[in-house]
Amino acid sequence: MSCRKRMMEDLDQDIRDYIERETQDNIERGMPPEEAHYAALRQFGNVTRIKEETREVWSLVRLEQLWQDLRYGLRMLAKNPGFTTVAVVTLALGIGVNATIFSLVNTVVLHPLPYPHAERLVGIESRRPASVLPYVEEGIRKQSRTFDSFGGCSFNPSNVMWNGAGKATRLKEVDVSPEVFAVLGVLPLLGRTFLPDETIPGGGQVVVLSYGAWRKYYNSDRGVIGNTINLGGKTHTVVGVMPPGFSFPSRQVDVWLPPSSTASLASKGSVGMEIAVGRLRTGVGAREAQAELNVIAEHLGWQSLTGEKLDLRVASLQEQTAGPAVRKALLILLGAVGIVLLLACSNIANLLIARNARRQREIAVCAALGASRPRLVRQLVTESLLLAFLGGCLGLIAALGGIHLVRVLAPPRLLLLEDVSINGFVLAFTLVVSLLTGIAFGILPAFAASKPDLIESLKEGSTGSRAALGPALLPKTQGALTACQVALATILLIGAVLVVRSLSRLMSVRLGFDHQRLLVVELNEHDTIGLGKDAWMLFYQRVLDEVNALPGVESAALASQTPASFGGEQTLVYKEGESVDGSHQSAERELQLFVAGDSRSHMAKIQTVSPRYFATMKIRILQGRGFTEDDRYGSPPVAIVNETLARRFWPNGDVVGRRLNVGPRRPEWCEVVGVAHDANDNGLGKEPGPVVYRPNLQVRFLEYALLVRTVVPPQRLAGAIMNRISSANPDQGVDSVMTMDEVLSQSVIWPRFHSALFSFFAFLALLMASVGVYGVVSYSVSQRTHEIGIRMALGAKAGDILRLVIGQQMLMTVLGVVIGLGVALGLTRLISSLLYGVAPHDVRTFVGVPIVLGLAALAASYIPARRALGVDPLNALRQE
Amino acid sequence: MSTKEQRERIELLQGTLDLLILRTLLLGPAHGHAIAKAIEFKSDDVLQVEQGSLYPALHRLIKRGWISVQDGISENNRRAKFYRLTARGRRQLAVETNKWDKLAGAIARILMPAEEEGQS
Repeated sequence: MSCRKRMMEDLDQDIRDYIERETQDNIERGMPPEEAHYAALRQFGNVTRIKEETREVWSLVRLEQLWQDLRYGLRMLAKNPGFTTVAVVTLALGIGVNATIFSLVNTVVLHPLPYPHAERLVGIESRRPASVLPYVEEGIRKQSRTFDSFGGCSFNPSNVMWNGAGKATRLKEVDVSPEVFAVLGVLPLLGRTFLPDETIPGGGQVVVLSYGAWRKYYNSDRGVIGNTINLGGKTHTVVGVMPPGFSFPSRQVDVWLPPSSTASLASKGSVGMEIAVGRLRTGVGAREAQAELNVIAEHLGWQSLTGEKLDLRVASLQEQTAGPAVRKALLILLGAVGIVLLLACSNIANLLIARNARRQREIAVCAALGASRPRLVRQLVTESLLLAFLGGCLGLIAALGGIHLVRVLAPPRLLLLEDVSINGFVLAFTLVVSLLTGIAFGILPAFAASKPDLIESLKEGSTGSRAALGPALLPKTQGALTACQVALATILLIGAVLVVRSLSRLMSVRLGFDHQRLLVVELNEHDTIGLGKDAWMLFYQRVLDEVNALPGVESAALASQTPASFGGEQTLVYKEGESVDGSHQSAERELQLFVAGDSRSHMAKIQTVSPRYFATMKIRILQGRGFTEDDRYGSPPVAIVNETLARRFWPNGDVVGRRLNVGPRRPEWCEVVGVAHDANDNGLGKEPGPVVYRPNLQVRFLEYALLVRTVVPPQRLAGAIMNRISSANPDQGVDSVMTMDEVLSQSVIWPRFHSALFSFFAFLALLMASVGVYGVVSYSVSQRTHEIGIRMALGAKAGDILRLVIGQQMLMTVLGVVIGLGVALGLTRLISSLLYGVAPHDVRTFVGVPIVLGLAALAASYIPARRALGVDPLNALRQE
Repeated sequence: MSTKEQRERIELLQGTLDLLILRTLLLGPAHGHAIAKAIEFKSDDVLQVEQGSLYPALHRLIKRGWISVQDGISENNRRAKFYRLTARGRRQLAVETNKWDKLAGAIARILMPAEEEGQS
């Protein structure tokens, strides 16, 4: 440091010396001393710049300049608090929403799996025939060259009853082959995982606990290994506990069982999805593995009874974790916030251009004192980067709030939501985005401003900017930026309007039942398990009777599945006369029929309901009758089908009196006594599927929702209904109490999530574009006060002045809208997966949005333009 | 100032100024003004040294250790900064001169035949 300082002092001295000598030379040539001195100075050139360039030889100088620039930049920002606040807040919003959505994408899409080298993990599914993997797993393992390791599992957790502490508890269970733990690369926290011989039927009465279950049910007792646990009525030995992060394949899992264990066999009623997980060898892609599996599948020669060939599909486990729909939705949101950020950038670029124009004099002085152009650009870009950095910091804080908001808004089923946080990846992303942003909005204004016309700018009294920057450049650049902003806002607004309209379409969809004044009480099934058949029937009968008798209740009924909510039991249904032998079908055979899409069988939802269900729900019975109290054990088994199933099984319409069989778990022939109107059974936006209704007095079903139609607002009766339930059975718990409207809004929680976010982003975009237009017009008015004064003095009318100040902005707005519409036409196809009942090129949206934007731009430019009308010609001219 | 017409003067090629400074200092230590004048004088005023490049060049050479700077008393008895060739600078001068000879020779070989062709 001191060395450099001495060098610089030497340089000063040397330059003075040089000029003195040159002066001396000039005097010797015969010049008068004063002229000789000036000639020497002129000949030497810009002393400051030469010193500066010499300083740069010493390398640290750049850092020093950066430090200088930073201090200077901070001073400039502090000097202009209005501009700084607007710019930093705009940036903080732009960067904040990006950091928020990126943190979601980072967790859900990029790093959904907490396993080492998760990118090498793949899931293998068998498309045709489903559920055949266990039979071919061994063959694949022997023949494959692309997998390091490979193991099968059931992908969807199923329920297994744990009879412990005198009470039955439902645990979520997943079957895994012993290899799965090794494939995922996770060691148990305590004990061990499964041994190979534990997959042999009868050998696998062992269980591995999840960290959560271990904490909850065993109080983190390290001595749990070797304990026995009664699962599904059989004794199992706890052999291991997995570490906290291990949540395969989802967080709900409480226990893992080998596929052969009695409990897991018992819990499998209908067809569960089977999947194998594999770890690819390093350098092998999913595509190569797919190619190899195709060959292996051919080689294994597995063939179903209906002639179906094996069809194995490989997909990255990371991609499967979030599911393609969620991935796509999040990426679309990331695109939307990208647009918001671009808008913020162009907004600030516009502000900077105007501000730099006001600073022309200052910049010209710097240039005159020896600042080179690159040096000026560097200074101005440093200021932009400073702004971006401040915006980024504030944006991170905003993102913390944003993440919190997303947690509240997001669908509870969105995986891994609790993992969403601002981690190193998100920080790095935010930093890079901030810096890029700073460069993006800073570089253009910096170049435009760094080439001042020194003479013009430094002239006494000159306001500088317009003359200095060249009359054409400034409005053109600002005009282009305005067009950009309007185009970007158009795209986002169109996207938002389409998504919001989809939501309203979803909400107004025909339900097939009356959703008003309907209370849904979901009863906890565990508490009914303990009751014997008679007690259990009595319990429900008593609850129904007492609730029906409550004042304010119109009607009450039971249903095994809450209507219009996702889930429920799907079973294969056969119609009479065409089933092969009319008796119990083997699971394998059932599978074959299903896969073959056999016209004699159909997957249908089984809904077990009490007699007054149809009356309570106000679902019309189209043919035949509803259920009555007489449809109970001992009387002939009956069923009611919905329209969809009736149409598929008996297209000619003669339905009542036919017989059908609802599959292997309850193999009995039921007479169809009625056809019910289609009612939504899967959540809003889903077409009603085939449904078979059975009377609750003929089928033992554990899980019921109590549906209460009221004449008063339904919440008011919640307390009384709960009282009646607990008086019928004090141990009976209730899972949830909701109005049907709340149930419905839950089923559109994803569309709601999109709509809320998209609307917010579009609102930001509209706001930013409006502020941009406002800023440009108000700047232009302030610059042209003088000109406007002269025009008014010469007799220009208000309309002429308005046209003068906002004409160009409106032209640019129109141009922007047109460009935006064009781009939106291409882009909305990408969001078609988020749309429901609205075409991606919906005409009303494509016409309405431009009108709204045009009006917003008009308003944003009219407010500052009015100031132009208030210009007093006399004052304006006096300024001269 | 100069006797030559402005248009006859040639701006120095990038990097050649370093070579010329080293060569000038081979004759003995000199101050900045003297170096510039010497180069202009020796080239019959064809080469013009821009001060804008002279001082950065001098400091570049100092940084590389090819020249050093020290206080001295000039011929008219005033204190001045004298630049002096170091031992490394001397070796570098040989290298640079050699390089320049090769470059000049090569360019000359390319240009010569063209002139001859033009004459014939």
